[in-house]
Amino acid sequence: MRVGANAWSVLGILLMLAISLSSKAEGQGKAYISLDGHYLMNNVGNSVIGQAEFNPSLIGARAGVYLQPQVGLEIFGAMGVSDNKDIGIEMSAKSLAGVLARFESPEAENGGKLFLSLGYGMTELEMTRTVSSTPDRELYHGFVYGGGVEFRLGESNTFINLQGLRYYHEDDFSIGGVSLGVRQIF
Amino acid sequence: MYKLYKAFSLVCLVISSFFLLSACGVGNEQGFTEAVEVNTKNLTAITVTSSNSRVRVGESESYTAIGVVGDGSEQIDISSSVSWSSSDPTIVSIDSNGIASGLANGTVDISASLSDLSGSKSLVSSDSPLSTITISNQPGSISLCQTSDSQLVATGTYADGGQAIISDKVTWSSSAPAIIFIGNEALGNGSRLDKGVLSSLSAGNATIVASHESIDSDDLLLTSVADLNAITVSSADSALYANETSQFIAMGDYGSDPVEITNNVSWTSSDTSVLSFSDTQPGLSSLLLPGSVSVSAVCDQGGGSELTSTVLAVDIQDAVTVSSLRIKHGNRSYDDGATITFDLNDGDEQLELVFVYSNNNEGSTDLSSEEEVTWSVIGQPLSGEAPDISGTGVVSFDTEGESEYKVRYKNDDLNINVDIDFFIKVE
Repeated sequence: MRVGANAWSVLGILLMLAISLSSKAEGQGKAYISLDGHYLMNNVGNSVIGQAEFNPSLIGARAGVYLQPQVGLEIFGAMGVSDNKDIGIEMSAKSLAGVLARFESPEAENGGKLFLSLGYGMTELEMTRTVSSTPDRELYHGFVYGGGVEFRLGESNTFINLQGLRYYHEDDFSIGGVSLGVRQIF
Repeated sequence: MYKLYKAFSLVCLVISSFFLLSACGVGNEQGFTEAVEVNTKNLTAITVTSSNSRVRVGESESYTAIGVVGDGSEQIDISSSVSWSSSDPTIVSIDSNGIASGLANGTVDISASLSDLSGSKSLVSSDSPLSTITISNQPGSISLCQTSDSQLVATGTYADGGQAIISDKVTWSSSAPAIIFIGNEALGNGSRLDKGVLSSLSAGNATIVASHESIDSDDLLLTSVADLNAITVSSADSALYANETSQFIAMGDYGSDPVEITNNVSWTSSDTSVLSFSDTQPGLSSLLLPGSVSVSAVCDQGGGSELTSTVLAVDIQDAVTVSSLRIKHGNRSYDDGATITFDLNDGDEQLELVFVYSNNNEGSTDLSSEEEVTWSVIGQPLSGEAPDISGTGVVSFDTEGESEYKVRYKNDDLNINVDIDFFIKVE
């Protein structure tokens, strides 16, 4: 875990957002919320010690505000709703939370747009070997990045989005995931 | 609305700052990777072993962690995977390689742990000085070109009466190394260079001594007997193929049961462009081209005389290629189109995967978890629900059903692309 790199990344994002805060443009200030279902992909191990993949699910919400017409700042949180088991190990995602800066493309004629997300997040996982029943719970902090696609529903301010994010990565351990959400802009 | 977004941004900044401040508290994935290793290898217990239960202050003792697989029918060395610890690091410290160092007088427990499994062994640390060295495991005499069946063992007795095996700490010496050579490298593999291993190079007598901390053992007089009548060579493989290696074996006839002398003879090939022998591993050959060659072994009997083995004619066939895959589960093997049947009460089942070569031989390496391998289900279930199969070949199910699957090994670098279809039925 390269803490220094993560810290500089977050500092960069905050600096960028601070610059955005310094002026008020058309479209900024709009708030939004989103309800999301998350499907995590947690890969553990390597070819030498053995490998396993766990796919626990979470539901959560995010709330944000546009600092500029296509730049948002949001917080997100989610809690686990389903465990996953592989090679006799049960994995559950207890919680997911973080802060993201969101950078959107202009909206296309069909109501679709692409977006990138950068920020910092934490993931709390619990793993239990079924033969021992002794859980091991760990909290992972890391630089979060990813992107997705979003479509406007009709003429409303409601969007449906599909997003992929990388929450944590080490040589023998990674946490990524996809989420499907419905976002309402006020 | 502008006030709202300013307030929200402030909240985000505060939360971001929290993450920044707490960034040093990142997660530890070691516990999770260890659990995966324990379950993948089906480890049920850990046993800690060492040569001694005693270490001198200022010296070290090497520890090994043995993982018990399943019901104990198999044991594997997991020393590099475990976390080592000492119950009192001020008395004995231990590093990540399992090397314990005596620091002060006392007794500690040395523990090895992996996930929620652990094992330990007691270790006494003492600064009592060495008083005598005794050599045991003596062969009496050793025959020409023969390595002793077992290593000499040096046991140290200390002033406080304690004893420890110090074979790997003493310096072994031979009064006539051209007649009887004794290994003096702490290799731990029993080869002729390993500490305490004797090799007879020519007929005669030699005196062996073990020394440590200015203490010498009693002289051990050994005789090298020139009773080698003949040498026979053979290959460890029934058929030889180009682009592979093959181990040749030399057996010495000493008048009774033949004795392996592979390591103590020199190896020759009649055509080194077809077959050449390793300079570092006696008898190990590289099969370079298809063709016929003659192989022989020579024992140096000293004084310029040599004893040459019978000549072995060797035919090397065309290189072997990978022709198919084979699934293995338990004692059974499954080829293309086979059905693997599980009982509904079974738990998660690991399938193994091996190569099948053009000579119909079967590979020994389990490929099931290799990154070049993909396991996938084909189409809809034939009945019930399709059993799940993971990317590493683990089958899991909780209802009856049958489905068809494909496993593929694809390695562009090696130009291998083979697959087989098979069925899994849960009833």
